[in-house]
Amino acid sequence: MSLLEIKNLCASIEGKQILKGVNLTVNPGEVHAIMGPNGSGKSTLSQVLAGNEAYEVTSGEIIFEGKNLLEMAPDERACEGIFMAFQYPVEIPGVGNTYFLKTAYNAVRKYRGLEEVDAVEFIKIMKEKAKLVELDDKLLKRNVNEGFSGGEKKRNEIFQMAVLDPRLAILDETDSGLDVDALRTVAGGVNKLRDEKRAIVCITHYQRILNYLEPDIVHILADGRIVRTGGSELAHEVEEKGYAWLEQGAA
Amino acid sequence: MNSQSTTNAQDARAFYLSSFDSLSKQSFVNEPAWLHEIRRGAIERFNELGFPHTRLEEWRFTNVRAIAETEYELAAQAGEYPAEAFEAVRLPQLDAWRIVLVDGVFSAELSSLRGLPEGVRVQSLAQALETDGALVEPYLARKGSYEDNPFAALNTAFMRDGALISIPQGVELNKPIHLVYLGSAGSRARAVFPRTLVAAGANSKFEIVETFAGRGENHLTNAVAEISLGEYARGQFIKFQREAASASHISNTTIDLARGATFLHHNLNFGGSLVRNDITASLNGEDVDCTLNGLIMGHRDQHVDNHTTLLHEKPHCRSWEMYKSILDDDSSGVFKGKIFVQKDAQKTDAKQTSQSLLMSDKASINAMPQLEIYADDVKCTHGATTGRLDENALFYARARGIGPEAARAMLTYAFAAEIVEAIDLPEVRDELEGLISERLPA
Ligand SMILES: Nc1ncnc2c1ncn2[C@@H]1O[C@H](COP(=O)(O)OP(=O)(O)O)[C@@H](O)[C@H]1O
Ligand SMILES: [Mg+2]
Repeated sequence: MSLLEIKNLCASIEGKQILKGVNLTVNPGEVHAIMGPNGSGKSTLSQVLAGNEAYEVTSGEIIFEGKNLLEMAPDERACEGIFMAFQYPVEIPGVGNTYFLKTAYNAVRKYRGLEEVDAVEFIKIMKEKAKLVELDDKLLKRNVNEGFSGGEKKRNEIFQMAVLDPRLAILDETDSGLDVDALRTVAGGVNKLRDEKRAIVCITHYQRILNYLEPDIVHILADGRIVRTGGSELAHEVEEKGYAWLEQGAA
Repeated sequence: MNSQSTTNAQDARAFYLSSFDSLSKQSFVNEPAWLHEIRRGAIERFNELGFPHTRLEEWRFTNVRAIAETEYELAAQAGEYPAEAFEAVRLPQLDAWRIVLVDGVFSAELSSLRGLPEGVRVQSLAQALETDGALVEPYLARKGSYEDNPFAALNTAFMRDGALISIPQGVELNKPIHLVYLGSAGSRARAVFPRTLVAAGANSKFEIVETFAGRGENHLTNAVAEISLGEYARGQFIKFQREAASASHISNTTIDLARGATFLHHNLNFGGSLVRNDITASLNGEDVDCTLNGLIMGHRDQHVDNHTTLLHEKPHCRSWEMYKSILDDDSSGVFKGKIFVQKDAQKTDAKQTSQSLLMSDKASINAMPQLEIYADDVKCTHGATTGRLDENALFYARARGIGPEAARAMLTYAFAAEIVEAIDLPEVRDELEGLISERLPA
């Protein structure tokens, strides 16, 4: 059974149609890349998968591990094993990073019928996972994303992914705002989280991060549709020629 | 439905005047002449002022007609306060000296005042007036403390008991003092007029927690606190207002700060249906540090009005003010924050912030800063914001697996966190956290 199946997904925001029939199948263990020009609907697809109610799904289906994802609230989806790394992670003043993540971690565990962990045990888990993306210990004590640099926010997202241990991770432009060294570290962290059960959908504008992640399948999203699907050579083509030729091809 | 009768606004005044006359012939008859003079001056002033109405600028958003039209029982007879209810409000974790009053009358049985340091007084105000009038006189009803406020005038005319806290020069208390005003249950509307006097000498240090926990239906607490700090004294004063849901709570607090004094006031409101707090701090010497913090958790049809005034009289003083309101259901809030910087008060550094979180469509807040600055070299800022929980933050939390109620509770608590964290007593912080959590989405 495939992990995720998106069938003819159409979605709009504030009455504006953004996704115009997206089809995508992701199997366990696969790494997919979705590339596309700005405004093509990449973040919209991520947000819809995560359950953001600001977006309206006008038609289509999303099946996750055989279940109808569209009937689930955002928190249920997360508990079922979907993790979306935000393109723009949200700052939450007054809520400590550690407390936030512990609450999330225990909510997910509870949903999965596992025992909740106490603060001491959680700190251990957290310290171990923080190493994966070389997240500064000091950031764990700060408020969620508050005053973090762009790069720190992206690291924090992947750190959260490592802690929450999802079945499907959707990384929305996790590479943007990272310098070369940070990109190597963060991509390295993602690679360490790869295994045969987990799938990763890496959304990006540039081919850069794909040099590290080496996706199995590359899709091009343009104007709310997937217009090409291929291997990593597709990413190199985009790098050379830009997106214009694809949009013409799609028309 | 209730046994108390109601009157119109004109009769309201007559009710207090005649009650005063009869008390003058009974309970007040043995009091020293100076005290009776104060009472007489106060009832006369009340007669001139009458109850405030909403055409007055200071009372625009707070209608006290329900109070004016109720003929409260004024007799000071202490009722019963159940042990478990006392346990719930006495902050048992807090190692403190406790002075407890029930229905405005000192309770030796519930108080625990053993082991006070030499020279420190924490006692029933009524007892102090009997035995040491001369000690109390200079601090009681100083310089027109009720001039403009009919409720403070009524308190002054009718006060029976309260607490006297006096800390001599140089004494640093190693334990906090918890001042507990209890009100017994009962359907007969009762009014109490508690009076708190705090006189802290130069270089002294104290922490006072003041709890108001009335259980009576439709009862009125009309409290006055007069607090003074001598030079370089340091004090923290935390007020927990957790009156019964149907109660009215009116308070007037004046704070006098001498050179170099540091003072923190935390005004924490949970109970009451009609609440009005006036807090006035006078920064009378150079180099004073004064913090006025407030938290309002309103729900149902509560109305909570806070008026604060900071009087910067002298140079090089700092004042910091942060009021946060979390208003749910039909509740309404008022915040008026006045800052006066006198001509002499150069290098004043004053910052005022008022933030409100509206949890329902029907909740409302009126926030009004008022700055009057007569000095030219000062730093004064103010800001007022009103909003709802951040939808993006809610979605972010939910996208990490946190349920909708838990996410709302987390963000609501976060809004109040700054006020909690500013409190310097861990046991009190825990209590406050608990009280906030009880009100959060479950
Ligand atoms: N809140 C919104 N209101 C109206 N239009 C929006 C909103 N958010 C995004 N859009 C529009 O939707 C389109 C797709 O945006 P997005 O999914 O963010 O693209 P991408 O991530 O591929 O750059 C863009 O044209 C954008 O302007
Ligand atoms: Mg995007």
